[in-house]
Amino acid sequence: MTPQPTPVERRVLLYGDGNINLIDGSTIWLVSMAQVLARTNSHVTLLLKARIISRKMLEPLAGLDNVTVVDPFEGLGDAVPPSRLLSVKEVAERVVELDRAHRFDKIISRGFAISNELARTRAFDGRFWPYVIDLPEPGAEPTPERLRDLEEISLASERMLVQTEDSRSYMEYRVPASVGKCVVINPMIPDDLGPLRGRSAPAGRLKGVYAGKFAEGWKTLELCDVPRLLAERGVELSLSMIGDKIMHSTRTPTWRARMRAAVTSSPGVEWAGGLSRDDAMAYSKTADIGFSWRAQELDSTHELSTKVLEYCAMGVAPVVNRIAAHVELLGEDYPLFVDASLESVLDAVERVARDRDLLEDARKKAMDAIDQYRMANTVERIHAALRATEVRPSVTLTGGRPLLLVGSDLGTTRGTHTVLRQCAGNVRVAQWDPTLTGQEEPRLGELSAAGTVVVEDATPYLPWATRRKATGQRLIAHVRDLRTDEPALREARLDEVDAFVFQTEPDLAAFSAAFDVPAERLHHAPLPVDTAYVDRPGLTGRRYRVGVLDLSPSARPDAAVTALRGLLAADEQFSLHVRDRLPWEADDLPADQLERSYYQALVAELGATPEVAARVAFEYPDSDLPSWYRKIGWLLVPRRRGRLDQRVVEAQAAGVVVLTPAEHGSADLYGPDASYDSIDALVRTIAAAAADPAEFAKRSAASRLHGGRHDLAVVRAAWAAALTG
Amino acid sequence: MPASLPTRAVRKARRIVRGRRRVHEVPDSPSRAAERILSLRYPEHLVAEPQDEPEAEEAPDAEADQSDARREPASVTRVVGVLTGATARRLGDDLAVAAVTPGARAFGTMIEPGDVLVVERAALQSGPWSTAETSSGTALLLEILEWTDEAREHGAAVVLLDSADAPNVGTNLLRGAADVVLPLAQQADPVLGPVPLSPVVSLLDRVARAAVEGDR
Repeated sequence: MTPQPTPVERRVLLYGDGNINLIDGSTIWLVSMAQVLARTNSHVTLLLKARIISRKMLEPLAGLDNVTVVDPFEGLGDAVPPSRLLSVKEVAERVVELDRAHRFDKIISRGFAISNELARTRAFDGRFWPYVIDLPEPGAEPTPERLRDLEEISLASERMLVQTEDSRSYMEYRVPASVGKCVVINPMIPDDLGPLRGRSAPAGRLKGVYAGKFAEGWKTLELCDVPRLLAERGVELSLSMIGDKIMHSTRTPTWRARMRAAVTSSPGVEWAGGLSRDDAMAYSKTADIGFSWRAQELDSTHELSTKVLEYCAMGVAPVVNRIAAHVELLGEDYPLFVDASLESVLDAVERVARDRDLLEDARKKAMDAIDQYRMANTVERIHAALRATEVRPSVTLTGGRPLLLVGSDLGTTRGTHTVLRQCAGNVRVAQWDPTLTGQEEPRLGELSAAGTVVVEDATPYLPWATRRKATGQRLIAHVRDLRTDEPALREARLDEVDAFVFQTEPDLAAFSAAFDVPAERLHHAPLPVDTAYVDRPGLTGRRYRVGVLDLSPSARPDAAVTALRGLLAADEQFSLHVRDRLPWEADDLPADQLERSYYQALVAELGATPEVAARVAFEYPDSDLPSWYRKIGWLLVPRRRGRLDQRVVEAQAAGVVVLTPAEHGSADLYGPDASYDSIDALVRTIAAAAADPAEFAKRSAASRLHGGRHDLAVVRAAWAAALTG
Repeated sequence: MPASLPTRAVRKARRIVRGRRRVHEVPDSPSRAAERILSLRYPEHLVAEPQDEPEAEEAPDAEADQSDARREPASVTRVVGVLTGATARRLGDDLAVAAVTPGARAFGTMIEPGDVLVVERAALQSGPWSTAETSSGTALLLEILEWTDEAREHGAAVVLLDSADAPNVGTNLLRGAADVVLPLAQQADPVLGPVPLSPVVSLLDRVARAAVEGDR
């Protein structure tokens, strides 16, 4: 029996700004990405930049029925020189042309220039997944034009690909519009890449390998001297150098010639020349250690080297600079960490040469480190990310007419919009002037055209909409923050409202007690949060960091300062992080005299206790809140009196433990352990959990679980019930 | 000013307060600046109430000056720094220290000519500046780099105290922004001995050396 072909879930166009005839990082990524996408039941159209001269790089794609490779110059014969590459503009034109023929569900492009060009066409909004790799580094302030371009790319994107968690943090800081969109894909290594079969522990001479380009920053010239210098220490090392790309150095004009001489004539060095990727891997597998030693200026990277991961997978212990990313990958006690000095490399290699158990330990650490970078795991991540954007509408809209979401301030309801779109598909969003003055006629037209109308909050439209409800129309009131004495609720014809959807259960109960509305029309749909997006690995020491999001007097940041004083008495590692604008940095100082007086008192208190002030950070409320939550362990939030703050729910989903002064309903909002009765109790709770990592982990997990009640899938089900009645 | 107090006594008191503040009270000044900004009379009172009377008009007071001289540390160098609590305390024994926290500039802290800006890498691994070297703390990193720019504008030296922590994304930028990275490599001339260092640099070098070697 022939197996049934897996149905195609989506059609994807993939483009990467690299020449497929060359082996380099961009083409390796492109082919790996095509393989990954093919395994997500996608049909992949891989558009190339160059005509195919060598099929070597494309070999892994041979036999994949769901990958179509498009040679941009196919059929043009000798009219096009082999070296001809598509320009950015030509690529964009080809993508538009291919899209016209195939209507892709996703467009994935790698590189800033082409992503910018594709974003400008506006033809792919909402299905565009760019991978912008060349962001300006922190020290280089991006130009306003560059930032505008990045924002344009972001706005056109449905999702944006980034290589690592670090890259995501940096992207979100630089490009606020990217928050909520960045998908971490990680560098990928083949699933079947492993150590040489039958390999035994090395004895005698050590074998080292370097594979890649020869460049000054990559220390390849100094590397050629390593076998000779080790020999002087009585250590035998043979070094194989794989690669044929010898780069120029603008800093040192003689470098290239010296490199060529060194690789051909240095004692203990064998130059294998350029090899295909498979051959290079087969060659590398025979080595004991692999060099990825770099100059210090290359330490500032947000990304991980695929080459290092490949060494790890092959059981070839990598010699790498001791940078935070490598420490995270291989552990603090990995024995082959080096710095930029030649001495450190000689010391490290000598160490493992003299202690073979240490070398075995290094190999084991390396092999244990890379599971999450296997292609199978990347397939899982990408597939989940793709599917999260492809929720099929579960609700059939009344009369097939669109759903209209109406409000006067929809800036804070992006989550609701997402959920409604996922539930109903055809959603129109209308942010109207609250007064409706002179607007009634056109607004009435919009209202009548909708089969279902969702009114955000009672004012000002609910009374108006209940009096103009069209026949067969379904009218839903979304109550985010109930005020039972709200005049609009008295003015509205509540019997015309088919469903009331409350963000919190206490609001639903209070409404039920105050108004005579049948229970079957009352629904609870939690505030929606993309929990998977904000849930990121917490950073070391977060349990000693307390966060505050609001500096206004009603939020009582003074209580946080008082708590910090108590916490510092228990442990001086604590710090308070206030993420709000300082009052005197606003355009106008607060006019309220009491408010000014409050801030003066707060500042005076800090001034009088410099040891406390020295532990308080005032940080700007930038958009990269999910990144900020990684370092925060505790979030002190004011009484909300029933209203939920999206930022707080996101904090919970990120594993931050939320604490709030005791009030009725706080357990419903933030969980049973979230409230405290006194500042002393607050201090005791935090200090005790910070001193006990297991206790903090337990509280963090409980917080995350509570945040999970707001997950899009949960909220979607609740809304679907309300939409259908 | 109360009219009953002799002018000379008030001036002396002020000088004493200033002397103390130089050493111990630096963190208080920024908060006072913020208090003034928040005052209901801001900004008029900044003009109406100068903080101090002009010094030039004061008659020399030998007794007070001697007293001040005893109170001031031998070095007049003030360290403005991104520091751990332990280092701030240690430096504070010998120098005037203003430890800055994120947002300190908004509270009025400034670098003055003659200051030394010290950035201690260990202070970036935990506490108020934690994550400043990492990708998730870019805003904090840029804030430190602003301090280094300000130091340069005022001709103040920038010193980076290294630590045993693995370099992170921002480490090179901090190194590049520093005039001196401590600890210095210990390369004593075999004949002439070690190069003498100023007391301030020598003290900072000891702190950095302990941080680099202590944890390894």
